[in-house]
Parts: sequence; C-alpha cells; structure tokens
Amino acid sequence: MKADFIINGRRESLEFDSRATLLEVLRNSGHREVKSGCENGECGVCTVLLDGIPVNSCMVLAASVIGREVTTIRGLTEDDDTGLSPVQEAFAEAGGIQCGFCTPAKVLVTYSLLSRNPQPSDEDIMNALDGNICRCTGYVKILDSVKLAAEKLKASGKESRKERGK
Amino acid sequence: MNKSTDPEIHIERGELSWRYPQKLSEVPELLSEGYIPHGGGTTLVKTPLVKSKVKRGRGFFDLSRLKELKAFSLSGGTCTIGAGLTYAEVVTNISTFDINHILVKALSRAASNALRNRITIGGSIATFPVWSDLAGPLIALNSRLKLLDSSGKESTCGIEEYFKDRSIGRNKLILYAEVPASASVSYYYREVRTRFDYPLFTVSILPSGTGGMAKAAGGAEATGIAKAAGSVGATAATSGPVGSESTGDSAGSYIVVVTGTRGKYRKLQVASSASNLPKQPDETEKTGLQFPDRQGMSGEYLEHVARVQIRRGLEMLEKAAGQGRSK
Repeated sequence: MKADFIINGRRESLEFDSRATLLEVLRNSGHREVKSGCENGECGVCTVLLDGIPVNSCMVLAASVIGREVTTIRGLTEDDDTGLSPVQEAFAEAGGIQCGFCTPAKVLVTYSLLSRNPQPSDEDIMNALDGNICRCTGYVKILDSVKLAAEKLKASGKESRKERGK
Repeated sequence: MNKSTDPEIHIERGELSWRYPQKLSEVPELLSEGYIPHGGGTTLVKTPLVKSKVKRGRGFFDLSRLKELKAFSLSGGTCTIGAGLTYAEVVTNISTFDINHILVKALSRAASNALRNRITIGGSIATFPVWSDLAGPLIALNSRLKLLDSSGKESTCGIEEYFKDRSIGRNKLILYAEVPASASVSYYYREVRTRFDYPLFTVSILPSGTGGMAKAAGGAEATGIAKAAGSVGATAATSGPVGSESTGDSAGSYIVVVTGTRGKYRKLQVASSASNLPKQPDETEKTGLQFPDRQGMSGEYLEHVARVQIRRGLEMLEKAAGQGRSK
C-alpha cells in the first residue's frame, strides 16, 4: 500500500506492505536512526513519538497511523544549529550513554516527558522510562540525565515544543 | 485497488485490506463483511494474520477516527469509558476525580509507558490476554459493556458474561465499558519479576458494595457467585468458564478477583476478616485458586504468593476501614 506520513515535520509518501509495522516502514525508508531490538514491545529501543507520545514502533501497524506525525531522534535536532538538543546534551554530559543503542529512544521519551512535566519527580521519570531497557548504565546516570535535561531546558527557556508533547 | 474511505491511501490487490471508517454508522457493514476491528493493535500485530501472512477474514478496520470510541464521561456515579481510549488516557481521565481508583492503580502500572499509550480498553477486553491488568479490576467492579453488532443493533452485557461466553463478542464491536466512579477503597497487586513485566497473576480486591452500579443493572445476578460447599475461607467463588449461582447477601465482605489462574480468573467473595482465607494448600482447592506451572515458577508457588497477597490486601483494607470508623 502507499500512504503519507509526517516524519520529523516533513510529509513523506511511502510504499509498504499493509502488514508492516511502523518500525519496518521507517527503517526501510531510510530512518535507520530508529533502532530495532526485540521487536516484541519489551526493550523499547524502537520508540518513536506518535503525535508527541512515545510508542513502540515495532508494536504499531503502519497502516493504522497513516497521516500521523512521527518524530524520530533526528526530528529533535534538524532545525537546531548546534546539532544536539538540550536533552541529548544532558545525556552526554551526565553519562547516561554507554553503548548508545538505547539512547535515541530514551532521549525521545525524556523529550516527551519534559514537554508535559518540566519538573518531574524520580517516580515520574521512572514511570516514563519503564519500558526502555538499558543494559550498560544501570539507570542511575539516566535518571541524572533526565534531571539535567530538565534543568537545561528550564535555564534556556527552550522547553520542548508543546505541539509535539502531550 | 481496494475500496477505501480515504482517497490518499492506496491498497493493492492481494494485500491485507484496511478500512478507515469515519462514522460509527459505517461499522456494521464492515463487521458483516468480516473485517476485524483494530484499536491499538498490540495484540493483533502478533497474530498469524499479520506475522505469517495468513489470509483470514477481509482485513482490519481502524477505529482511531471514531470519536464515539474516544469518549469518557462521568454521570450518576458511573464512568463511561470509550473502548478506543488507551490505558494512559483512562488513567489521565479517572485521575482527575479519583487518583486512587482501582483502574488508576492497575492501568498506570500495566506494561510500559509506550505500550500504555497504545493498548486500548476495547482491544484488551476483546482479547483478554492472560497478562491483562484490566480484566481483574473490571470483573471486581462488575463492569457493563455496550456492544454493536453487524446489523447495527446495540446490546449490553456484564463483563463476566462476556468473558465466559466468547460467542457474545463475536462479530461485534465494543463501544464502551461502564464502571462505578468510586472505587478508591481497593487493593491491586500484580505479580511480576521486573517492573515492566507482564503479570503472572493479578489480585484485585474491592468492598462488595463497590460494584453496585452493575448489580443494580443485573450484573452480579446475571454472572453469579457460587456457593462453595463447606467453604473454609472464601464464602463463595466463581471462575472464568464455569457458570454459577448467587449467594445474595454480600454485606461486610470483599470481592477478590485473581487473574492468571487455571481457567483464566477466579472471583471470590470473602468475609470481612482476613483470617477466613484458606491457610493450607489442600483448602485452596475449595476456592479454586489454582495456577498453572510457569517457567521457573510452579503453580504451587504462585498459589502461595497469591494467598499472601490476598491476605495482605484484606488486612490493608480492614485496617483502612477501622481507621475510617474510629474517626
């Protein structure tokens, strides 16, 4: 089948099997920044934002979200001269990254969380990231990264765009 | 190209068909043609129809454009929850008036953040997976369902009725579920190894009167609560596939629903004292609280943990009730 999606703010017309998942469609159309892991909704590495809300792209049939806005990690930086969003900077500075495979998903979930809740508690952060597994960092640094991201966004007055967060 | 209500979507011959109804009035025809409703799709995405490219039925019809299924309302002590609402949306809606409602407790912990944003109430009821965090609370609440069939006729049924007789839901679309708005005096437990695991079993406990909305509508009477002959602890019980009869009096007691048991779930009516629960494994048979063996965990072990959690929940609720009385 053939249909339009809005990916990172740009309309893309894509051809795909009507049984394909959003993960398959994104990766087959060049969005390799979306990682493929368990393909079973358990690891969270394939997370993208669908109309600003985190979803496991491996658990979403692409045909069910045609015309909707999909944000991948690239969507956070494309209009930013520095190349990194404040959330990404925070993850790098606080050591919330080791191998980096799960990082795009975690950054997107953090971005979505801070859009709705600029000052999350530890519990809010753990709830938001409860489906994103990291096998390197042990999560403490990730918690630190989210808190640092909140501070950075507050300091810069550059809160995540409301229209993407919900 | 297959027929589609959206001119921008092109579906080739031989592909799994997708239809995108804009109005509820389009649904009966799709049901009669054999299309399968698609809400969040988290169960359907793993079905043979999708994974093995097996051609069964006509395809899917997407529910996301049907506003009626996204409705949430609160009236006369009853919440009406649109079947297309996700777990996250239900938690957000109910939290505005009762942050301790049993559905908030259960659904805010279910699966993971990303999955809670996709799993819908209707899909979860229709499939009733063994790991469901929704089924236990809905049974304990004596929830009522509104269904739409392929002739356009609407009907209602109790949640247990729906779970026990799968033919009731065949070729029908769940429109909404009704639950009592007040259910904050409650206990919910999910047995998991890690936070984001699917539960091996769940325990939902509510004071007997909580499901009054459904009882008044015939829910409890319709589904029944069986007398356990010579019962040691639980005063009465009913389970998934087995029919049963009502005990009538439920004053001063609790409804305990355990999902994940043999036969999928077990509903018990327990007298107010937690000491009434069966203490020995051989007594458990009388309540039917038996579990299948799981990987790395025997049924006997799960049964023990479930009994501990039921006792803990009852003690907690008794304590809370005692504090309420002393004020």
